Amino acid sequence: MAEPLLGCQPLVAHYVAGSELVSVGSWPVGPAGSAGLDLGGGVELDVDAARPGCLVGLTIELPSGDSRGALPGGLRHGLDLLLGPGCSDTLVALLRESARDPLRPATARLTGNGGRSAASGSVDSPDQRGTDGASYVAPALHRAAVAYGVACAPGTPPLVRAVGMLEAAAELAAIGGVLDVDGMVGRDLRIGVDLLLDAAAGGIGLMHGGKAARAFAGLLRRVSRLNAGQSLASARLTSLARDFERGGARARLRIHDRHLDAVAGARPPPDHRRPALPAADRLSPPRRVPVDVGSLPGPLAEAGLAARRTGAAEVEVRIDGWAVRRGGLWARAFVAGNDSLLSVAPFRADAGDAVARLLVPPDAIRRLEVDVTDRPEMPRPSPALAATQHAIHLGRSAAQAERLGELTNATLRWRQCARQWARAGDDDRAEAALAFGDRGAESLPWVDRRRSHEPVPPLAVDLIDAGQ
Amino acid sequence: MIIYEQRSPAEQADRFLRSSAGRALINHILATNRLPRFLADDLRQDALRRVWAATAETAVAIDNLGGFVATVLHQAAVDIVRGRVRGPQAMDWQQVIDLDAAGWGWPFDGALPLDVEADAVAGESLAAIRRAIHRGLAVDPVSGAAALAYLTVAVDGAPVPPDCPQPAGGATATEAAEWAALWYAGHRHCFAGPAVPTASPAVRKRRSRLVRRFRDRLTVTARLVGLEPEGARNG
Repeated sequence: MAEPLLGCQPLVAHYVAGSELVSVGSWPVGPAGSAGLDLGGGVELDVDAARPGCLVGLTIELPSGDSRGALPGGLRHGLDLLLGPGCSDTLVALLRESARDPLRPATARLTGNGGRSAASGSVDSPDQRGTDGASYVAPALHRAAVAYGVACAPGTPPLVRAVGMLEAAAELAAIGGVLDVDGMVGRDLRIGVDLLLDAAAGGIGLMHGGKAARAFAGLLRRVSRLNAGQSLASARLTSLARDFERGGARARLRIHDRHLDAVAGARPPPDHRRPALPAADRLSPPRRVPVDVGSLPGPLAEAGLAARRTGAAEVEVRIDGWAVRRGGLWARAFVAGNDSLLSVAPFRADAGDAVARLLVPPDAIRRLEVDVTDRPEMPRPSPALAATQHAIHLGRSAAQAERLGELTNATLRWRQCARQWARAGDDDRAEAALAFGDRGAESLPWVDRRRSHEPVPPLAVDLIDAGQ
Repeated sequence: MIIYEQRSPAEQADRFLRSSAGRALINHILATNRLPRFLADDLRQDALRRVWAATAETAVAIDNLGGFVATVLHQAAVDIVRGRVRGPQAMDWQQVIDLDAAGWGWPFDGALPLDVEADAVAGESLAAIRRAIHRGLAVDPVSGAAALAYLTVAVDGAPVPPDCPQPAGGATATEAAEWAALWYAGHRHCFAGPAVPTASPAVRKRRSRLVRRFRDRLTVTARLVGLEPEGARNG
């Protein structure tokens, strides 16, 4: 049988009594958080976002209801392919046992020979998770997970989203003969092509002859082969690839030599823009509305963002230069000091900026607080959670800079990441972030140096995101 | 006004999560995911939101509350360690669902309590409706945004700025509030623009569908928080 797609010794499987999930833990997630990948059939994979060759864990959803005791054949086969027959046998035994006796917690230590070293009936400490073994994730899986992480982050420009989805599809297709991922490949292709054609209609700004343009053209060719069943789409993608390789012969594709942001709608060319002042400084204090900057997700924390009263019952929220990145973002108005949501509004493009207008109760307009989010349904985060989210974002930026070979930038980002983890009260991850910045993965004893520590090359989505 | 007192799955989950067993479970899930204990309250709130979202609009029977809560707690914790980055499924939802399609929403008829007796729906009830809309924003944030804007005009009496489209003379205050709600929720495509001063039949039809959707949502939400139109009508 072929080598398993995941390798880590030992793995520990947990079943929490009564729940519908079994989590198989390998390595505690590092300072950049994890990148997730839904493998279908109720199985999700998480890899370390900074060291994607390190497996964080698997989550397996048990069949519910009357079918609980019978594991689908596809699930068993998938676990065999992921973990190898030895670990899979032990895990399936735990799944069956949990299905038979759902009110009893269970833990099992999975080893390659099928042995099981922890008795069921007791939930062990997470500290018992193995950290003494090797870790390995098949490159196609971890590259797809990282591509999703970049593509789906808040404030991601449409072209980057498109490339991330297409790259994930191309990576998953590479293991399509092993795992049943055809549905995900089809979905990602459809979303990616739709986003790409939208982005192409507005002009794609990549430096001609740069790494990003070359990687982009290569990705389009890979994807066009996947799309062979749809000849028109395939021909269109091949044609786009050819345009980029030739330097943009077609009039529909406007190849710019500046960063992607400069392509934003009616925004004036960057050299002629008004002097960049912090947005908050342009507002007179009485009209300014406080923004909860601590809770801004992802790169929004570094954006110029301001809110002001524009009427008796209206507040305008403006993000400087974010017109192309506004997709999926929402402004929210709360009563200051509590979680009562009064208004939520999407962002629109306004001369290169992203602008949202919030209609609020007139008697509350002087005691409002505003935030911006891509998850409008979520409650406002506590300061500790906001710091955690910011730390994870900074860790991901650092990891991306490492993949791109920008080591100075990576070190700076790891230090910022460490400060945020310290602010969140997680000294272990703060220390790990500093270690990543100072010494790299050599400091990590659990990494399998034969395989996991090989330098991770940049993804196409990294190069496009960086505008190289 | 009739306000029902019944214990929903979300209320039962809230009670469980505040118990010692619930707190222990939260701490266990945090430890399993190596997350600091300071995040216990965030995790609890997120789990409650997930329970509410899973059970509010469907008659789902929860056989084992503790197990169900453990599942959503685990999902919430994984979401945190993933940096709360949405998966590709969320992008698929944005792409596939046609928000302009007829019949997408909640098929409820009947008067909206807010129209009948807006003054009575102040204070705690209004706050409860807003909280329920907030929790439901994962499903259709655009309709939720419109519903909140509608409340602000219809109940709080917010003035509508002059650049917001207004229905022609003779329209009711309710209709004016509906237009403002759609405008602030970003539905600019259902009004006449500078280039086309008169809305086409297709635009009017689209506007009517969108109004219907957010009003359906408000009706369902009002019922979820215990307000019934009959009660509002009869005082």
